[in-house]
Amino acid sequence: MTSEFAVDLSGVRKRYRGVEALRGADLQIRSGEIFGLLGPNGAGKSTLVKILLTLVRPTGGSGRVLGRPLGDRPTLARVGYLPENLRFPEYLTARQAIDYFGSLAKVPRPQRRIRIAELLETVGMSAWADRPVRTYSKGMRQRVGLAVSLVNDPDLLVLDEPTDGVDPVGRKEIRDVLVAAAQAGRRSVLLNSHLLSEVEATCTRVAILNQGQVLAQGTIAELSGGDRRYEIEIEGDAEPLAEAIVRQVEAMGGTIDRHEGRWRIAVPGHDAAQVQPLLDALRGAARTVRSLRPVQSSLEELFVRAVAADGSRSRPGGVLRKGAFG
Amino acid sequence: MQATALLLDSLRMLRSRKLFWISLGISMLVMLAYASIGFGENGLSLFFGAWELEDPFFVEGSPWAKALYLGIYSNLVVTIWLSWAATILALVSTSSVFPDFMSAGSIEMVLSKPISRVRVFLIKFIGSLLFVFVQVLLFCTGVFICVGIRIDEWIWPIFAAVPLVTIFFSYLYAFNVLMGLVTRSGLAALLFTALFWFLLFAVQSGEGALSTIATEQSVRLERLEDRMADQQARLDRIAGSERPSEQRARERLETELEANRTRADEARQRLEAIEGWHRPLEIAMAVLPKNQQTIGLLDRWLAPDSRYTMTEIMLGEYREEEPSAPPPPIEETEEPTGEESREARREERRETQRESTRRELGEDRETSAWFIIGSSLAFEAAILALAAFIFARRDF
Repeated sequence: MTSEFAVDLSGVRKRYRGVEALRGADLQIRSGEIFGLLGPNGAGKSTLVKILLTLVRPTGGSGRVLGRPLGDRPTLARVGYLPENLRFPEYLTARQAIDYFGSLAKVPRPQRRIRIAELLETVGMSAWADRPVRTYSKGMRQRVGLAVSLVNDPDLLVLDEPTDGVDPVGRKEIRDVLVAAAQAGRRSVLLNSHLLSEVEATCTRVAILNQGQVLAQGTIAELSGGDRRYEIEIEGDAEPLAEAIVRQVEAMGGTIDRHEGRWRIAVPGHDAAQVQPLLDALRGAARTVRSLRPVQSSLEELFVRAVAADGSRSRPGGVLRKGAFG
Repeated sequence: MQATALLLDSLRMLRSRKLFWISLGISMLVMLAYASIGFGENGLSLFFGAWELEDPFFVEGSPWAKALYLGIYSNLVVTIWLSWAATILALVSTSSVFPDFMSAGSIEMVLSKPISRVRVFLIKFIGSLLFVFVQVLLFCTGVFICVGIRIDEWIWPIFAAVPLVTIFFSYLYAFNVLMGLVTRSGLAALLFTALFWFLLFAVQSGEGALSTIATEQSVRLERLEDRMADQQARLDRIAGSERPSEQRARERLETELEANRTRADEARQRLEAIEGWHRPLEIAMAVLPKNQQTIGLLDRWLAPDSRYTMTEIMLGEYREEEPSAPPPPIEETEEPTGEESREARREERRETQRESTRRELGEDRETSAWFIIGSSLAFEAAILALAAFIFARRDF
């Protein structure tokens, strides 16, 4: 792979019979990273993924996948895909399914044989390899799907809701497989999931998509860069805080609330030195500081905030960009 | 590698369908029934000798026995079982192949691979034809062995049924696939295909019926014209005669000639009217798939010797020692009685029907196989091109 980006999209648009599913989406996935695509239902995530895989034809915009233009079919030999609501032909066994899709991905027969055995072992389906798919549970089907998506040893792996309908243990196993798959061979992974905790635990970078536009993309730290804060908990909420302390917190742009019988003060800031004067003031007022901790917004908070902010804007062009988080 | 994988998948899919095995089971029963027909020294037997029918024509080693045995295969077994019942089962079984294939979570797995959509579409289409191809191949192999044993001759053209029935099925299946793509429903596709098949049947039957009527009218007209020429010649011979018997004959001939002229005029008018209806159907037939004619080719290829054919057997002419004689000349001296006249007219009608059937079959046999199959495949290609275009352009 010569390009810095495994996926590089610019202004991609898609209109379905008058409905604009994508309104100029920009997205960059670096080579070798696990990238999470987030967005509420109907945000255009699946459309974006399908455009990468030539399943959907974009109405406008441009882009490259693994260094080749969008829609280039031979590139698909280097891409693995696990669709949402995966449906295998019921008459196939796991071994046959991996072999069949491996053939379609132009994996030579001798290589396929080796890969099938390896992948069945990796996804824990060796014991079930020769039983028909119709006898499998949802989780087992997803595991086979993951094996199928890896049969061609892809440079780019696209996973659309890979743990949907899978129990927590299965989810963890699938996550482990995909992390291992990404680490082995410097593979790029695009993970489209509505499970924020899954994305947070797995992905190096994320993009938030809403109403057909990418609102933000970057690492979680980058996205929440302007939202770091310190939380101080003070014993005894029955005793009011001194007026001077309240004014000092307000001056710092912080907030005060009650939480489980204690006062909780939150003040924005990246540097612990910023809160020292406030701590001095609290000590001076003989208040007991129970805890002091730096807090960063969770992915869920970022996501909800970004989508809510985007929804509050009526103008189509008035979307929240990365700067809104920084 | 990709084509092989898709075809192999189609075979696996067929194997997994119950209807495939049901259809194969019935095929085996039909073949068994066919195998039970035998020929002995005194005639033919059914159900492995359980029922014997004495007939000096259908004895072991006779050309008529061979014509009958092959005729049962091409006219009954292939036409009724393979081209109707087995085709319906095949359509029911394969109707959902494309709608299922296009369902969410399934199509993406194939189309996200480095293979062109048109290629996927065509291989998938061909793969579905295997349903019929495999069935007919197995069936024909059985029939080939039966014929070899029964009439001691290994007739390879029996296998012509394999491509013919598969092509016949493909005319309908191409339309079925197009409807499946448009409606995304196997059931809807099946219903539309049934309508299309009915349309083909109606056009072909309508054209066939009108063609038969037109041929009958032509034969009748020709016979009337021959008779009128004959009557005119006889009138000319006795024109100056004063003999009372010849005068009576002249009067009668003049009356008959006048009546025949009127009948000929009416027949010409009827023929023109029929042709007016027949021509548009003929044009439609030229464009639409010729499924009946396609299957009819099998009979043509199996019985190249026109003397011993199923048609001759069905017309009952194999029992006549000599070819049918021309209609008897009208006696000049004696008027026929009423009963004689009615019988003569009945015989004339029968002869007219026999002659028109002979002509119809002759015309059918003269129609080029290339035209029958080529024009039908051209229609199918147009339907497939439209379906492939929809498939290749659609967002999944």
